[in-house]
Amino acid sequence: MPTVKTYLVKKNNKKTQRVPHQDQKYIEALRTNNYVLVEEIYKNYAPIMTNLIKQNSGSEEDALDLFQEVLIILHRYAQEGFVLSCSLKSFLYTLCKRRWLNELKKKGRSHTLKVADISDLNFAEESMEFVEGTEEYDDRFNFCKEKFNMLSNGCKEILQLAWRKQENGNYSSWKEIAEELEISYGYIRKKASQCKARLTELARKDPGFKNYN
Amino acid sequence: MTITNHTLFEEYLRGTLLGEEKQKLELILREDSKQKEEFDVYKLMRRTLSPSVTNPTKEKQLQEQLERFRKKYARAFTEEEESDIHMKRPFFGRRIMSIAASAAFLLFALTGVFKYAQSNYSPAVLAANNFNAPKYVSGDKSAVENFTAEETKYVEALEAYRAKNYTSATTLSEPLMNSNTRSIREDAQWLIVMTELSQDDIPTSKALLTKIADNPQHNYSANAQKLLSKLDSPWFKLGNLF
Repeated sequence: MPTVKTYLVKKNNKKTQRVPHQDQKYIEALRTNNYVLVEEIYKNYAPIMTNLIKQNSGSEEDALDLFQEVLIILHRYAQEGFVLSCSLKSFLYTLCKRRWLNELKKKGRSHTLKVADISDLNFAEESMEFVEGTEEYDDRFNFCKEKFNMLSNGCKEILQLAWRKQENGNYSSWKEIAEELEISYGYIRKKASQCKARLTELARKDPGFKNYN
Repeated sequence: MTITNHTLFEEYLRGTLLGEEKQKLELILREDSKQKEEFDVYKLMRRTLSPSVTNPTKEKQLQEQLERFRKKYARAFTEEEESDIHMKRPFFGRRIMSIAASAAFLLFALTGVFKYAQSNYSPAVLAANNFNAPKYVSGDKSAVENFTAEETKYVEALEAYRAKNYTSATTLSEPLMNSNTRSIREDAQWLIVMTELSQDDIPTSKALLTKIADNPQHNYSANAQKLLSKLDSPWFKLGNLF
């Protein structure tokens, strides 16, 4: 019987050895806003998702809203280095299906989803790990964004500049940030630290934070 | 939590904390669980937020792109879906059945209208229904014996017309068209119109009818006007389409 530690190690190893699927190019396209490939995603997969939602008490508007929302989440998740090892079709299908089911639950409508065909089961199996990872990321993002929005405008501006990478991939120096904001070097360092401390404090005080830590 | 430590966390995550300072921070993180927790919270917040927060225009651009695609493909998706529905439904599906039923009804109605026009507005039918010939009794010897030569000719022409022998009817009627007796002349003219009409010669019939209709003194003037309006009616055109 493997101990919890060995199980974690094995799971982590599995993650590091993950081979990107050929559809990883679409994740990369979403990360970089590649117009041609993003259009290809839309053209190829929006009708499938639309059919899925329309078969399950949704309208075309609902379907396209949901699809757009999912692509924006993937755009953000891709910035964090998300790697896809299954087909984009099965990943999107399962993700949209689960999100729509949650939407129906929120509206107080219990529902058994009708699926297009038997291949849906294969979709769920091969993509579940990635779908769960994306959902976890989205929850985490919304949580962090909510805390960030609770900061003062000054703090938000300083953190935006502190975390921003320049075109050469380097961060701006504190001196450069101080010049951009027209404040002293000493003040910006002190203020930035205060803002970061405030942000972590807001997160830790929220009982929901334990889900992401 | 000290401000200095947060500055060091940021330097560390940026990769700009080097040498002795870096080792010092790593030691703190190993030995001080509270510092380690603070570091982990900050790292998580920074990793999650930084791409989106530092470059909001990129996300906005993608949103705009997606809106454009939505407009561009919305119509195409709907059409595709419609065709999918037709493909998926059995041949005698509800839609096909309703279209077929409507088409059958329309065809039935059109056929009825066409048949009505054809049976009531063909030239021969119009001629037969509008003749109003003088009541000469065929085979009534006593009557015939008292007839003038022109009257006898007219009766013969009339008999030929009734027997659908239109050439004889025309040959016999033509000399009577210039008769000095008005009734014979006008009866003969009317008979010629009916003969032409029965042979489907619409232009000649119309020319003769116009001439009669234009003469209010003519016995058949009112009949000619009535017949002309029938020949110009849509029913006549429909009944004689083919």
